[in-house]
Amino acid sequence: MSQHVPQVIRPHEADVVPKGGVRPGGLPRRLLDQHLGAILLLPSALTFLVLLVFPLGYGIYTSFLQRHVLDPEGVWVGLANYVWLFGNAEFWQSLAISSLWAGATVGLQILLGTAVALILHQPFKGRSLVRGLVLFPYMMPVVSVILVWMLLYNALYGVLNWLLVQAGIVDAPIAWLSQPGSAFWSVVFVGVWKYFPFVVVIVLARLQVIPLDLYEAARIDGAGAVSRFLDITLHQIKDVLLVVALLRTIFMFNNFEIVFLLTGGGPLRSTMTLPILVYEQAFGLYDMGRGSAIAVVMFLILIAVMSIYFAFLRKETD
Amino acid sequence: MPRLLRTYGLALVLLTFVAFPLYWMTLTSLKPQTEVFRVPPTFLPATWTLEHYVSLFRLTDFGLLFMNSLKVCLLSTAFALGVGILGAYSLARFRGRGKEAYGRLVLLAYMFPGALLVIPLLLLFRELGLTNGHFGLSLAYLTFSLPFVMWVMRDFFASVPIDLEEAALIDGATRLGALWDVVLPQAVPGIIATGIFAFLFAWNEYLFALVLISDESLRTLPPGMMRFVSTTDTNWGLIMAASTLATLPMALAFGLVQRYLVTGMGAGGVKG
Repeated sequence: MSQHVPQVIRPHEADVVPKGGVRPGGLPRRLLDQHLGAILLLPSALTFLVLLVFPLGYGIYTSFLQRHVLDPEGVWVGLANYVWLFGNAEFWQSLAISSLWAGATVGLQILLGTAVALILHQPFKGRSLVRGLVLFPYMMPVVSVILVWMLLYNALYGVLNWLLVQAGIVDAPIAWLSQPGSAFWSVVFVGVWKYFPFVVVIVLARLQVIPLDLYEAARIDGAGAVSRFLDITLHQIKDVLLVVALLRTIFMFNNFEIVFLLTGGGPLRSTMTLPILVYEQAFGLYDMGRGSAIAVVMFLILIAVMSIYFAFLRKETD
Repeated sequence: MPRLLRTYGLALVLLTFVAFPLYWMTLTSLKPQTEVFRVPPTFLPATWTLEHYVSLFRLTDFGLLFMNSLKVCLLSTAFALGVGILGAYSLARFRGRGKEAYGRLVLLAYMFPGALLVIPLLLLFRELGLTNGHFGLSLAYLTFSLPFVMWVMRDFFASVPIDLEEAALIDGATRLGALWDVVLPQAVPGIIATGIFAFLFAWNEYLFALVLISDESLRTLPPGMMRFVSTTDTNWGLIMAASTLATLPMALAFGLVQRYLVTGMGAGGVKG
C-alpha cells in the first residue's frame, strides 16, 4: 500500500496503517490529519466568534451602561440597570407572563402533539397524506400565520366568532385579542397551532421504533389497553418527550414574533413577555442599557435550563 | 370497525384544525373586497376574483419585498451550508480535544435568544456600516442558521457509513477529495432538508429584519407585510393574497422534498 490512510475514527484502523506513518511530504500523518479537522472547523469558529461571542460580550458590557441608541459610547453605571430591573414590578410581571406563556404553549404542544402522533401511528387509508398535511402550520411563514389568525379572531367579521355564535357557545362576538382576559390564551392557541406539528414528527418517529413484541407480551400477561399504553407506550416515549419539552421551552421562552405581532404585549400589558420588554426598552424607549440588562437575565435563565438538558444527556449516555 | 371509524373521525377533526386557517387565507384572497366583510361569511367565494393579486403587484411594493427576502435568505442559507457542512464533517469524523465542548457550544448558540443579540448587533453593525444592507442582515441570520446546520449535519454525517470513505482513502483520495466525491453525494437529501429549514427560519425572521433595516427599498417580507395592516382601513383580501404568496415558496419546497424533511426535523429536534 503506497498511500497512507488518514486517521478515521474506527477501532480497527491500527491494523490498516502502521502508527506514526509519514506522508511523502514529510509531515507526520497524524499531525496533518488533526490540522485538517481544525481547519475545517475554523470558518465556523470565526463566524461564531464574530457574530455570537463578541456580540454576547458586548451585550453584557452594554447592560452596565446608560446608553441611548444614538449615543456613541454611553456612561458606565455599574449595576444600576439591574437594580432598576429587580425593583421593577413590570419586570417580575413579564417574567411570570413569559414563564406561563412558555409553560402553557409547550405543555399543550406536547399533549396535542402526542395525541396526534398516536392517531397517525394507527394504520388507515390516506395516512401518509394526513401526515404530510399536519406539517402545514409549521411550514407556514410566521407573518402569514399571524395575519390569518388576526382575520379569524376579528371581532366584527371574523369567521371564528361567527361559528361560535352560530353554535350557541358565545352570545356575541368577542374581541379575542384586545381584551385582557382572552388575549393571552388566544395568543397561546396560535403558538400551539403553529408549533405542535414539530412534536408530532418527533414522537411519531419514536413510536415507530417501539418493538411490537412488548405489546404482544403484555397482552399475553393480560394487560388491558390502558395499562399497555401507560406501561409500554408512555414509558418508551417519555425520554423523548422530556427532551422535546426542555428544548421547546427554551424556544418558546425566547419567541418574540408570535406575541408581539398579535398583541404587541397588550392589552394592559397582559401579554408582555420578556423579549417584548427588551424590545420596548431598547427600541421603544431607546435605552440600550436597560434593554440589555433584561436580555442578559433571559440568557442566564436559558443557561440554567440548558444545563438541565446537558445533565440529562450525560445521564442518558452513562 | 368502530375503532377504524374513530380513527377516521379523529383524522378529519385534525385536518380541519390544521387546514382551516390555510383554507381561509387562500379563500379570502380570492374574494372581492365587499364579500370579505360579509356576515354571514361565505365558505366558498360567491364571486371568484384575482383582483387582490393584481393590485398587490400594481399598488404595493410586495414584489420588491419578496425579492429582498429571497436574496437575504438565499445568501444566508448558502453561507450557513458552506461553512456549516465543513464544520459538521469535522465534528463527526475527526478526533480532537474540546470537540464535545464545541458541539455543546453549537447547541447553546442555536438556542440564543434573538432579543439578546439584536441590541449588540445593531450597535456593532452600525459602526461597521452593515445596517441597512442585505449582506448585514444575512450575516445576522447566520447566528441561528449556522448552529442549526452544524447541529443537524453532524448527526447526519455520523450516520453515513464510513466504509466507502475508507475505501476511497485507501484508493488514494485525499481527505477533502473523499468528502467531496464520496460523502457529500450521499448526504444530498440531508443537505437539502437542512437547507430548507435554514431558509424557512430566515424567511420567518422578523426582529432582526425590523431593527437592522430602516430603508424602505431594502425591507424584507415580514416587516414589510405587517405594514399592510397598520393602515386605517385594512384590506384583508390584499393581505391574504400577500400571505398566500409568502407561503408559496415553503409549500413548494415542502411538497417537493417531503420525504427528506422528517429527517431534518427529527435531527434538528429543537427550533421552530
